[in-house]
Amino acid sequence: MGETAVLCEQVEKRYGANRALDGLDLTIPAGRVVGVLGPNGSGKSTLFRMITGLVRPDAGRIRVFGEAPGWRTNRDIAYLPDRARWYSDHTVQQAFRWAETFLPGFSLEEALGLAEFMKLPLDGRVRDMSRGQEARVMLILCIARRVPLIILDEPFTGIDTVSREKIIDALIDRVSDGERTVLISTHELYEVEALFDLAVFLESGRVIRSGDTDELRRQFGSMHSAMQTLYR
Amino acid sequence: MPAQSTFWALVRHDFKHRRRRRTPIPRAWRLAYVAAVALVLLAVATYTARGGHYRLGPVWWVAFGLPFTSFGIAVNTMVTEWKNGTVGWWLTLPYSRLHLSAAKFVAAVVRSVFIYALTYAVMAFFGLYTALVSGHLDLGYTASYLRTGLQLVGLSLAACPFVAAFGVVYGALAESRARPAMPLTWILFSGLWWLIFSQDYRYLQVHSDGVPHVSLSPTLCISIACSWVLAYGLIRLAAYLLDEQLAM
Amino acid sequence: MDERQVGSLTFRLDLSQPLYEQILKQMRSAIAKGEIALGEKIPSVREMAHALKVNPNTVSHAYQELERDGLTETRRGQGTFITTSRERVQQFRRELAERLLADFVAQMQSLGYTWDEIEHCLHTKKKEAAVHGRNGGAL
Repeated sequence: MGETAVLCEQVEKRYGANRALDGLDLTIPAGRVVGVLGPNGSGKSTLFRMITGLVRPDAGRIRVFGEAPGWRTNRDIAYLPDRARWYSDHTVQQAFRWAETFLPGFSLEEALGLAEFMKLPLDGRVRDMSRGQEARVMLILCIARRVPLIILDEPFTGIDTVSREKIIDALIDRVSDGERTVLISTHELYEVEALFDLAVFLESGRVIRSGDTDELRRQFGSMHSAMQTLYR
Repeated sequence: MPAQSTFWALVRHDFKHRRRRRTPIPRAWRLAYVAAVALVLLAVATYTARGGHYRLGPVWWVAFGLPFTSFGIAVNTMVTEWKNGTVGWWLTLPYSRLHLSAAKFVAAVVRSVFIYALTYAVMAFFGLYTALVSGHLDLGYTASYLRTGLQLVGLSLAACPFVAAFGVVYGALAESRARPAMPLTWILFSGLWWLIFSQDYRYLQVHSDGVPHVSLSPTLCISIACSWVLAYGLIRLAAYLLDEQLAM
Repeated sequence: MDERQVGSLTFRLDLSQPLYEQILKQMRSAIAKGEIALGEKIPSVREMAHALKVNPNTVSHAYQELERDGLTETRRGQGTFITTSRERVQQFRRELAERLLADFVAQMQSLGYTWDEIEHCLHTKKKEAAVHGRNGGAL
């Protein structure tokens, strides 16, 4: 216990005149489920891209399990990119084989179990799927991995209720069985808020509030009303 | 880390040509198109042969168009990751960016080899078919016709790594903060191309009948060697762009 | 507020209150009331998290507290069971009642009520409840 999964110190990232991250300070302890909350453009995706080494900070320091993010640290991270799609020519089975080849810690057995649970036909082609089904495939690729850090960027956007419930169920399962840190960003809370034990609220590239969700509930009522209070 | 095996697995994955999302053209339709083109070519070949033209040597100039396809293929393998929304998966793979761009490059080269071979086979077939129809098919002609083709397609293939590497850089550049430098790269590319291959009169002779001939001269060997070294540098450049200059 | 059924137990979770406390409180009263029999196995953390759609850490936190109360015991490889000691549950129930009572009295006194007045209030309340035919029964 007490290990830090992600550490950010005064992290900055600019796109032209736009500051995506503006002096972000954040410490995420290992083994927790963290909701990264905030309106669109508050810096959630940029933060995740930085943790996975997709982009580099212009200033400040960022550490993932004590190391600077890069392709090496990505061995330990399962990442669902925002607005991601899957290779449309793949079948579910091909996607799993791809993951087995390239993603360390991917368990085919778990993935097959999840596919059955989420009612995905293994020979179904991604091209012929609904967005909800495609999202389920991509989510399985992330959560069927035995890695210490799972990062899901807006996993519920544009996804039907049934898929969403299945995804939440699968997530509860993953969290139950071990020492995993899970970061989930969302700008709508749906049924997911009971899943978080920590919440981080971002605005304009900064953390405006973070803490234990039960503490925040005591203070603001639900996460939903916390959001309404904080982003008024 | 089993780098070797994952590298080739990456190449295999990148080898597959991925079009934009949209309903793909059904297989039957594609076959029909191929058949139609073959028929037209066959008709043209028969017609020319009947008209007494059978020396198709100059047709091999087509081989010089092949590097352009290599360029297109290389750019495509890069750019589709962005167009199809899979770039987040691709670039967060636990492999270095050099590894990733090298796999794209190798995939483009391998694909080029297939296309070059196919082109050679098709051209050989029609060339010899024309000669056969006009009744001029003999061993000497066949050998020289095939040799000419082999030389020119081979020359294009030798230039292919340079062009494919350029395509990989071009694709990376398109998605980087250095995007405004894209026109500049064309100037650079043309300059380099000219520098390397401008001495073509030393190894490429055009006979009076319009048939090109390649002779293996030291100039040619040096030029090709230079282009391959440059190709390596270009792949490193692509890796650098993906590492440091991504516009995302 | 959502009502959720887990085996023989019914939970009511309010997302605007700390979840851990709600789960703990509702488990405690279910045990005290005897809704779960002595020695009965309770759902695993995972089952409970699934049924309630909450973070498993929250559930296991509540379970740890129940164990500290002496209301449950974990048997290695078998799961978590309600204690077989009737005495322990009774004692816990008494303690809980004691605490509620102390709170109630303290608050009434802070409003200036005397012991007699409090007693009178309780009698009135009991009569009212009897008329409505509800609530009174359980007391």
